[in-house]
Amino acid sequence: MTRGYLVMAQGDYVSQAECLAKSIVHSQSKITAISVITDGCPDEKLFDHVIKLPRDISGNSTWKIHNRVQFYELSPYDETVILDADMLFLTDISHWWTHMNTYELLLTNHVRDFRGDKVQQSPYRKTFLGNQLPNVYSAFAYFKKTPFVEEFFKLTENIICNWAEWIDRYAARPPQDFPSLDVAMAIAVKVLDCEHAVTTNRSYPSFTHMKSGCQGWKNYNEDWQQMLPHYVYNQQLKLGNYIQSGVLHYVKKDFATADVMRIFE
Amino acid sequence: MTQGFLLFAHNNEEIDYALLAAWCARRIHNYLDKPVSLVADAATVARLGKYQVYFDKIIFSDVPLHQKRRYDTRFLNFNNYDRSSAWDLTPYDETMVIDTDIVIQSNVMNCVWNSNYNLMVCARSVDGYTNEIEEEFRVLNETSIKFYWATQFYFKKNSESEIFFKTCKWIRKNYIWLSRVYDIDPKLLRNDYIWSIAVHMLHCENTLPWTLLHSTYRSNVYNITDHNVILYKPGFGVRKIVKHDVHVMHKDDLIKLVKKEMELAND
Repeated sequence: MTRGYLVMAQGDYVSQAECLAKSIVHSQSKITAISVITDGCPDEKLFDHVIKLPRDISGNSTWKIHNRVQFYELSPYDETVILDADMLFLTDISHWWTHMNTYELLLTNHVRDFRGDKVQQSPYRKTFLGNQLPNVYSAFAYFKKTPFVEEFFKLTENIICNWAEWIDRYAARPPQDFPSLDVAMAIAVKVLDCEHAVTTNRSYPSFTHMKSGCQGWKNYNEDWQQMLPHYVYNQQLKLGNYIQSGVLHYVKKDFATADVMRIFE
Repeated sequence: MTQGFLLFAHNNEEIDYALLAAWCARRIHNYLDKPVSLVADAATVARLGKYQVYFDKIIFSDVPLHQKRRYDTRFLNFNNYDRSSAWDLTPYDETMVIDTDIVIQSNVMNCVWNSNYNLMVCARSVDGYTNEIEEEFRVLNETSIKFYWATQFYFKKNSESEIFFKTCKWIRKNYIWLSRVYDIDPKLLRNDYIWSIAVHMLHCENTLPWTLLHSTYRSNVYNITDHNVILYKPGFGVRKIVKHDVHVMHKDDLIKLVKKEMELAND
């Protein structure tokens, strides 16, 4: 059984996927394989497989979210964790695989703020709340290649490609006019009535979500770096007064600078 | 293993903490049936008079440091910085330290004894009206660390808890610098802030297993009986809190009611 991480990187995201690969190799004790699906030219030495994107189904969309539904068919692994490119692995999470292995598909269902507290209310999740959709995140999701998971991804692709119709029926309060993999997966979970089978009550999988609205701040700038200083010291990353651990979804493209990447040297 | 409560009292120009301590000790005897020791300066002890009977031991502590702080419409001196010395001063193996302005009306605090933890701090105190944690009591500021109360805490006297109190003393000495690190007002030296920084630095996040209620200076205390506290807050109306401990910050109202209760006491 092969295991590995899989990330999709188009355009600017290629360099972020490279940073992610470095962080995984540096921090993980067991699963260090990471493959990238891309239309660019990443540093091949950093990746287990560089997979050329066979079909671009995103049309004119600048946010190439549509292509992410191809994770299932393009994954070279028997067990895969899909990731967003703008993430860094800061400490070893190898033990998560033991738990994830007991599922066919496991979606993250809670995220944490920079203090490590569970995010209770997020201004970005109004569609989920308004339509009673399961609160799932695609930025860290585990799957095995099974008929059920194949069906799940096919349905997710259908939702992404026929966005207006699905939104009208399942997520109209308030309607979200741009496609989102999180919303599409949430609708798929609801349609297949499988929330109990694809989420867990455990504290992981989870990640630190650095969108400003997730930090519990009353008044905030959408660029969290304007609110919170970061420091690198002794191969650790501190955001404000908190040493970070686990998986960090830093969101802002200009965060993974050479200074931050010193952690992984 | 000896177990008991430790109270701190240092009178200032207006607030009679000696009276509050005696009243609090009396309630501890009634609701929790545990010995109570008092840490106080000589002037405050002198004010105790007949109320010394409520205390198991009286420990003298003269406070070299005091701070003038705004209280309602005036500025008063507050001398409560020997709280970091609780570990050195306590006569007990297991100690529960509480503020003297907590209205005890339950025995919930007795659940701490023989704990597996060496130290438990208060993380959760909700407003008596809204049942919510105000922003100022959730975090030191929006981007800083979590807020912990020095209002009540439990510790076993051992080397692990000693580190916490040594850290608190170190924080007090280095407060100006740390106020910059944690982005707080350097002019306001608060025990709660010292506790919050120490908890954060040492990751000692074991918390007391209950939620304390509080009423701020913005709420009046209308009445206190054996089993309830009646609060009044303009715009919110009357709230009766039954059989639940309440941290009352409006000292003027509290002292008036405490005087009445102590005059009626027939111990």
